[in-house]
Amino acid sequence: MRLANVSVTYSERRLFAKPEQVQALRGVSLRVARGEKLGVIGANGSGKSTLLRVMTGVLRPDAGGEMDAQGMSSALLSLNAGFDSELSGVRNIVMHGMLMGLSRKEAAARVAEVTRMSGLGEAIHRRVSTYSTGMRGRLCFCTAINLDPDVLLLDEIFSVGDQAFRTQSEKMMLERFQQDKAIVYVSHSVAMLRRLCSRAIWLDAGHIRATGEVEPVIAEYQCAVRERK
Amino acid sequence: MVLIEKHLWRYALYRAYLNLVGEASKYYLGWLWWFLEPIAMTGVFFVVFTYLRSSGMEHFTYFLIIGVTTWLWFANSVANSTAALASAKGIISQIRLPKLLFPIIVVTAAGLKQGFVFAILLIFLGATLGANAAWLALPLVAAAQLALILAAAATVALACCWLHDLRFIVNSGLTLMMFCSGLFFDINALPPILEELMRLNPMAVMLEQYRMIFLHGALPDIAWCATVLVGCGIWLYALRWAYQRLDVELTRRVIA
Repeated sequence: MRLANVSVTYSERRLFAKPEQVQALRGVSLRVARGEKLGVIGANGSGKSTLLRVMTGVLRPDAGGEMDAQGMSSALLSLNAGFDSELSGVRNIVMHGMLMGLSRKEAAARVAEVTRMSGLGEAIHRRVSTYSTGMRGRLCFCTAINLDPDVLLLDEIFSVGDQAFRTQSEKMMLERFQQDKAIVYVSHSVAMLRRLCSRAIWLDAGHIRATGEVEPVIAEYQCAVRERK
Repeated sequence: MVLIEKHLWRYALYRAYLNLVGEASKYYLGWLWWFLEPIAMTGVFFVVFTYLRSSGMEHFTYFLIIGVTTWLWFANSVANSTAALASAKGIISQIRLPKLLFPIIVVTAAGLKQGFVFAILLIFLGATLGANAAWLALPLVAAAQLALILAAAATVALACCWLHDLRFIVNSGLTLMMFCSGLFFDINALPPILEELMRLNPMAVMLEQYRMIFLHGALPDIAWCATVLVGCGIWLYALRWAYQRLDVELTRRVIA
């Protein structure tokens, strides 16, 4: 997957007022190779979620930028995940599968596996609005990982859930994404980035401030955070 | 592929079914409201126009109930489509999808609900007024109305992404349309100039088609129905093109 000079601008228009423009990404270029585990770190509002949305094809870059998926399928996984909280876990899994092009029967056949992986048990039949944030995280994670994409884009997914969930999902991820599958992992957790990623980038106000091996990028980021304090 | 891909039509149908299940589970009387809403509205108009001001029309209750059930199908679909894209923000920010899918889901849910309402209406009218050969033309009129609803809903959903304030105008516009649709009076009894003006409202002519079938046992205006079907079909394909051209901007507007 390759991004070249990607900028994304959101504009808010109001009557009798000048349109307000917010540039979430500014000239970002990067490449994600098959099998790579890329960590993305940065403060709130630095453009991390927008970057993932560009990578999954939801957002297109402004003129002059280019995103080439190079034939790799991707799944974006965030805590919102587009799930309907008024519906049960089962129905959300089926809906998600159907959106990905599966028939209702094929999508329903995945429910048992997602239930087993997530450890949600009988709760899978309850409305998602009754789930704790951790349970919701499990449902999102297991639904997306079960679709077996080439690139898994994770947006702060492990910031919720207990230690058991983190350990288990980390294990599942490493099992499934060992060889030619890639992970792009957005997180504030430095410890998780160190464990999961082979390379990192630091995003700051839509720019890539640092890129390379995980340790030096984290060190640079932490140094900047300390200076700003 | 008609408007959206085949697997998205399957999704729209399933999503519409789940929307209806979710809607019914929110209320104590559940799905009974699908029937109670038109009955209650008919009751209000009946009281106003029969007791407070004589309508002087034969079969006025039937005249009203046919008008109300078909009007509510149109009005509820269009009103709900104003938030079709905004309410799908979660899924739009997660997966790249054609945005036309969302008004289609709204219209499919309303169409499924209307299927049940029509079934009860047919049983009621068949048992009281009796069925006639003109009923065979009902699918044509219903198809024309569905096309009109889909065209209006997709237009409103797209426009509301640019002009959020349009929601209020749509609601007022629907009220104006209702009063100009001959819901509780016969437009043929109006002075010619007024009648011509009323006929500019497609729902006024649509209600007339249903009443011709049910109340008079006469065939509807086939040419008019075909014109609506073809016109809305062309408009929908133009809209599909517009949705595709504006997809980048639409996504940003919904997500931002």
